[in-house]
Amino acid sequence: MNPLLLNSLAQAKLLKNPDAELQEVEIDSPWYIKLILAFSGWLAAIFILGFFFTVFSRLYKNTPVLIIAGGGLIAAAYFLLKSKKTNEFLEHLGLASSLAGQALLFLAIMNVLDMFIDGLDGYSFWLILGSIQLTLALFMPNFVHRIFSTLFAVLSFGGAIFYFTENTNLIALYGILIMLLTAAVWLNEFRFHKQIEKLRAFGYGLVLATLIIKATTHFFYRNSWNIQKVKELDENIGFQPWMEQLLLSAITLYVVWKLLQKVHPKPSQIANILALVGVFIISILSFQAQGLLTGTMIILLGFSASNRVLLGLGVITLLYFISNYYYSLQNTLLDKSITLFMLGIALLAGRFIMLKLLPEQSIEKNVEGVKP
Amino acid sequence: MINSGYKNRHDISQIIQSGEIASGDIDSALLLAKITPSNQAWTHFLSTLLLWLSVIALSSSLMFFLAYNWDDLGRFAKFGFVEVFIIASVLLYLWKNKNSTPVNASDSPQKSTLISKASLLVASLSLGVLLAFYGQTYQTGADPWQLFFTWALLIIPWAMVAQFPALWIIVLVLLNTAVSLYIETFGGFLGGLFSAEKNLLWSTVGINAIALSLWELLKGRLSWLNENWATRVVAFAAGLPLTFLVINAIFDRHPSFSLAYLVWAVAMVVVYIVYRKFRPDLFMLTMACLSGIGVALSFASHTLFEVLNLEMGAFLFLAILVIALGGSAAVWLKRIYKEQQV
Repeated sequence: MNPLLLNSLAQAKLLKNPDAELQEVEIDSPWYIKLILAFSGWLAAIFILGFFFTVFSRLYKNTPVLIIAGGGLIAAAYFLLKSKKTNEFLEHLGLASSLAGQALLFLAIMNVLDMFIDGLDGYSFWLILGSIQLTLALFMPNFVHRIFSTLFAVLSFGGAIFYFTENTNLIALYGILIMLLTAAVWLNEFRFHKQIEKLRAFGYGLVLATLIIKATTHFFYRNSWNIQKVKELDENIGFQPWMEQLLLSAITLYVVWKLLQKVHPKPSQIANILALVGVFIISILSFQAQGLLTGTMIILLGFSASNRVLLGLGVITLLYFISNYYYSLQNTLLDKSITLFMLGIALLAGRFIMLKLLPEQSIEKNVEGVKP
Repeated sequence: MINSGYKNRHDISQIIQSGEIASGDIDSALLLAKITPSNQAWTHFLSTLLLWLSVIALSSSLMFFLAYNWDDLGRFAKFGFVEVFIIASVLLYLWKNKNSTPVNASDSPQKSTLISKASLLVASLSLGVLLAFYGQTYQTGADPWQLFFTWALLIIPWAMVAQFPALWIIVLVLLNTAVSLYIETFGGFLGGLFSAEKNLLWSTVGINAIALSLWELLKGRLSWLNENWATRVVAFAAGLPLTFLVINAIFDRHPSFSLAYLVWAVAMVVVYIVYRKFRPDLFMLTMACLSGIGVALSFASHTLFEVLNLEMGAFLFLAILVIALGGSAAVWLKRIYKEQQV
């Protein structure tokens, strides 16, 4: 714990009990150590499954055994991960056991669906899968587990919607809802002190899901060899890409408005209005270049909470969609070139106006550590 | 450019989680710890972001425009465009480099020349486009490996001038590509000694191991080489093929002593000594652990499944082994991490 930080918090009278000894809850290990954990967890899960299937070689047809074994493994994982004294070995075992248990449960679900509906029903399968993942995300007491369960829950529900409606446009609308949820989670990251870890795990799962949904719906559009058919679908469902972009602009405006409220000292009314108008113009100009707005919003959310991982995810998103834009079939390269030119000029103009109104002051003096 | 909020993030999270800050005061605490950026930090960040975004948008716009009109451009115009672009990048480098000469001796020249480095990077990449276009237009009959080899040689002087690790990594990538294309065409340098596939893996190990050793040796003398990410990338590029070679040897149908075992064992010892004792780097030790786990698991599964013909017990044993190995590695690495934090 940084003593300078504690000191300055105490001096500003922000600590309830300045003399209390704060214990480190846990040392946050670097990502590559977590990678070793994840890597061996996955491998161990595969071996455990191998063990189960060699012991009961016809197990995969035996639904009750699958449900009991799968449920048992997941329950064991829950108690292993819940233990306050969890060490690396137990955490490993917990993750591996949960993964193996989930695999057995999914086999059981497929068997049950086979039995009752005569053939694999995509819609019910994804719906059940999503509900299981959602439950795991809510109750499994582990950060890594929560991230991936959130991700798979969101994607499974998306799959259910797609199979139910057979329409990519509704997926786009669903993507917008998830995006709104993502923004809401990250804007309130520190709001509930007991739920910080949980919210953060949901946040990462949601961001990853947003990117995957955006990239997939985008992929469908880009690779539609039959543009006419896509257009017909659009007309049938009544939800058009421009509506998606408009909703996305609305979410971005909401995020910017929320962030403006957090800035201290408060910016002037004119600065607020100009910022919102600027964001709106840029969002209209980036209408064709899908995904730019999503990337920018993730970058803003990341910077607003000094979150490097989120910032990095935003930059990757932005670069991915810019390189993708080249291949989009809906516009000619000349159209794209003009759009990008106008966008570039608007961004430069925005920067010019911003620096005129709020000249960059001696930033360097303000970026050194917290001073008591 | 980045404020110190990044450093405080972990600590402030733990303080808030412990309930020591009243919920009404959380926003003020976040501002104080610079987790919520100040007004000025925002202005600075946004001006950088807007600048980069507009540069990306405008240069992509130019690229798309050229791509749209590519078929209508003559050979001369095409060469002209690419060459003008390269010259412009180099001129930008010269201009920025001249402007950013540090005023005080204490100023870091590295920070001030970011744009100048980026411009040499762009020039180096565009040179490849020019070489490829030259080969395509005049049908020189050269092999593909020659293109990459020439490209690497030609940008080495720029890499020396720029003092920019990313550019050296590009040189290394080009050399690796040239050698692998060479082996694809001619089957390798050592004739029938190894198969082409093994030749490829061995040459990758060789090139990157030499590069890593040179890099580590020169780090002390040239401060700009002190970029952990670059040595990590090079070490990864050497370690991954070496691990493959060992795993390959384990599962070889005609078991015989393989050089890979010896080289791998020596490499593990060297990595341990260098990155534990002389240049502590947890990432390198982590990669070595992963390689060790991979080799140990391959050895165990080969012995259990193919030599002893076990099945049921083998899976259980492997599951326990991977949890034990992964867990011990994580415990050991975390202990070193704590040591380094103190």
